[in-house]
Amino acid sequence: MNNDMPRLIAITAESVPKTKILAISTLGMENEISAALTNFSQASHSVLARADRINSESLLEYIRNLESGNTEVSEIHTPSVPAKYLVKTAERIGSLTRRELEILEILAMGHSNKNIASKLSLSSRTVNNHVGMIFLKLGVNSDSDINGRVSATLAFCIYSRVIVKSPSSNRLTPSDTSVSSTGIRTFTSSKEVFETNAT
Amino acid sequence: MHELFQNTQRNTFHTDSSEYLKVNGFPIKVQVVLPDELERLGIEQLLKSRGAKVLPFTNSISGSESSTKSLINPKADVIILATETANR
Repeated sequence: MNNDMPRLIAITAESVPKTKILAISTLGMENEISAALTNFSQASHSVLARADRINSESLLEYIRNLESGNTEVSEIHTPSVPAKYLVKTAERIGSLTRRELEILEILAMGHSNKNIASKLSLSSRTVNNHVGMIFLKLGVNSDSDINGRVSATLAFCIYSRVIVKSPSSNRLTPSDTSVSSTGIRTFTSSKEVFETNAT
Repeated sequence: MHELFQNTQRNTFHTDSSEYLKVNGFPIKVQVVLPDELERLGIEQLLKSRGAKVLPFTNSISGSESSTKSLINPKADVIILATETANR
């Protein structure tokens, strides 16, 4: 579930933007979860709490403070490095080849390398190489495949949003040129990525 | 009478109060998205005991057939997205 949290946060924040989110995380994915909260929800609308630092009383306080719009909440929500880190990662997506971008887009839907190979009629080995190169170019942690995939997915989502704000900075777009000129479809695309991934 | 009013106010905003998760008399609508059913039920029970309205969550995130989006209740004021707690 920890691995699904960033995706879940993105889905929640996109589908019910006015709803407040209290994310409770165990060890290992705080950075990714924090980045997802930062990028997909308003600061006053979300709190990240560590499971080992929360008890019944603080859980209740978080909920009440969130709902009451208590300003203390934004102080609690203090994301660390990841937001900037992931934005930088997202910027590097511009250096991917068209094929790598195509693979990243499918990877972001939650597909395994094997599935990607099947979808693109490539060999698994070729896809493995492409994914390795994507991780390398993005500078994401490839020590753990799952962390690399989560970081790459988040970066892709940020890219889908950020890129439309500065079309001149992108060498490639996730789809066709009309996407970058309006930006709307790209945004929708990132939502579709998540929805498709969930099924 | 004045003291009674003060005590009432204090109790309302104490976490032990059965009204703690009510704002202006209205219960805060909370959905707990947590795959572990036992933990979820425990948290839901706690929230209910403090006056919250708990919206149901059907766990089908892993190996789901329906989309994750459909699991999110749009009526919720607060959604708790949780992993397993460390104290288990």
